[in-house]
Amino acid sequence: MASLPAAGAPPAATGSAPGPAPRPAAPRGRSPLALLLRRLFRRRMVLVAAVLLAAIVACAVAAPWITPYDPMKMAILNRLQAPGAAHWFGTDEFGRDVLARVLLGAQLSLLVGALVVVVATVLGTAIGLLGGYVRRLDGLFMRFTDALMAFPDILLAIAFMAALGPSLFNVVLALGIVYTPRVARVVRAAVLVLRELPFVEAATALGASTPRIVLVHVLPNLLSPIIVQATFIFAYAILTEAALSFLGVGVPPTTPTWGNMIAGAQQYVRQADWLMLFPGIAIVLTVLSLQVVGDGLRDALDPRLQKVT
Amino acid sequence: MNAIPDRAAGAEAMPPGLTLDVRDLHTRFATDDGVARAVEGVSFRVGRGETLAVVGESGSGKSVTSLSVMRLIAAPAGRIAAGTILFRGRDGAVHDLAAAGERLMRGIRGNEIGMIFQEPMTSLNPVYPVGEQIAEVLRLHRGLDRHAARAGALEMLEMVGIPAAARRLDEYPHQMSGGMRQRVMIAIALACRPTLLIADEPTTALDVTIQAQILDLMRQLQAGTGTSILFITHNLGVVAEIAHRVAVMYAGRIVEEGDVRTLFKAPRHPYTRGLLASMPRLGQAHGGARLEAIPGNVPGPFGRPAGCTFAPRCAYAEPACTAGEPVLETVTATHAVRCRRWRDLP
Repeated sequence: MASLPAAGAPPAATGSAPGPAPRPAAPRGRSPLALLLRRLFRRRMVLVAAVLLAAIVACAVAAPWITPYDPMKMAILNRLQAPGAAHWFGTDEFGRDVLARVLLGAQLSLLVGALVVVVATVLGTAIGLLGGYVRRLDGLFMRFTDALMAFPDILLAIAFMAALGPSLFNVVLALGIVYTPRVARVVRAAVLVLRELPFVEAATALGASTPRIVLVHVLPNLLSPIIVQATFIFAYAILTEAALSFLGVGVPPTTPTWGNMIAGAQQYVRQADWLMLFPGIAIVLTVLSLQVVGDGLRDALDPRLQKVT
Repeated sequence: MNAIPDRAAGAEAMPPGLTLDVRDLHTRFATDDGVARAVEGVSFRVGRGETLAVVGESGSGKSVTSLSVMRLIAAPAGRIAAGTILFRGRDGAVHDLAAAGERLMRGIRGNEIGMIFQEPMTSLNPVYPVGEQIAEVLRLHRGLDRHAARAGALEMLEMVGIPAAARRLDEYPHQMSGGMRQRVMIAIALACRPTLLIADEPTTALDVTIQAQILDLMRQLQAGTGTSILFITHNLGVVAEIAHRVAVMYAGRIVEEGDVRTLFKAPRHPYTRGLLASMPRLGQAHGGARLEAIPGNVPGPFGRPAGCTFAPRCAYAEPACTAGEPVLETVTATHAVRCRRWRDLP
């Protein structure tokens, strides 16, 4: 929530200091962000998932300090070694360290997920805002999103990838477009509610122009539904990217994304099940914790919206 | 703000000393059931520093009248079909708001005309601290920078009597009570020192003690700034508190208009009398006597009765009443009534 003041500012100093205090913190620790975090983490599972997610991100960033091995360096003498003291997650068919590759995969998957979220959120919010606010565009935009949503995610993504050709950038583009309708629909629905609320009329009554009302008054109120959708899209994008790579239409196979690693592990599944196991676990943990956090966010944000609006 | 060249019916026809001069206003809405004539030929004037209360039941067209003045009628369904809304700005220039362009209106809204809404709970944006919302109008119309606008917001909060204003500046609407929020709304509406303040049932959602405080505040502020007030309400008690003059609306028309004392002491229109009789009064309700009620309901905006629209509910109606539309007749210089039988009434 970019527009909100930072949480956790010291609440003590706000007591009775009179006069023009330099931007006193929201009193009694009741800033919206602090409220949200407290409500979010009241559920133990959400806290666990959030910690797990933070750990995954931290591991991805700190990869070079966790394992000394180069994820791309082959050592043919060490091929297909079972997990052990030297290689915690074992080695693959070329003797590369699986842990190093899973961590590199984490970087790539999180990057893809984040970029897809950015693309889908920006496109979807723009379409939803325009559709919800400009009646004439609404029909056109919503039929367009209906058409996109009529196809299963993975099928549509495969079609886009077939047209665009395999590359990391194209995966981001394809998945971004695939998940745009989800954001667009949620944003549009929220805009249709918001535009009828008295504070929008009040903003008109104090002389704000339509673009200003949409961007300054309506958009910040959409943050809650957008954040919830973004979390889910993050999870879907990681899953679908893995599926695309597994099917060979995603990121080029030389790049060790989790999907590519599992695809490559197929033929060794009898001798070296760890090749499939560890990237698989990584996908499950990441996607699951994202989903739990998304669920928690939805529960934490909804009652507040109802209370305020 | 540039003054538009005055129209034929413009400045020379608008008497001096007036802030708002509405003439023969018609506002209509196209609906699935036909055209709703929400306001049909309403005329009224608000003088400088004066408070005009527009009174009526739900559906009488009083809110649509105020929204018409602000040009907040939602197009394309709603439109001002006819009439002029002459408004004199603080620079003395007269504009016809009914024909003004959107750009001119944006410069007037919140600047020359402030508006307070009925619902203080939902009329503030939940994601911004109240100080920023007051500062916004100052930045929009005064071009103040962030710092100066914040100082202005603080000054306004103090002016509307919010205690510990410096601290309240950074609070969000959900941290405030209804009365506090309505004070914030008033602060926003008055931030640019408007010539006209439109208050659309500003006290309806508040409890009675807070109502009294808010009315008090508005009276004080008016005395201090000389702002004209157009006060929309259905509450006659509130009217007696705050208004100088009253216009009673019924089914899209003004049926009686006069200064507040005359109207309360000697109402002429049977509808005004009915409204006053249906109001409980201290010391006048003897031994559990029932309050009087006006039979029936306000006719809807479709297919209103011919002739006098109040005739079907009126105890004094005669055949002639439904034959032709009554005109607004002058009782005294400051009192007019739209009833053909006002002379015959007891």
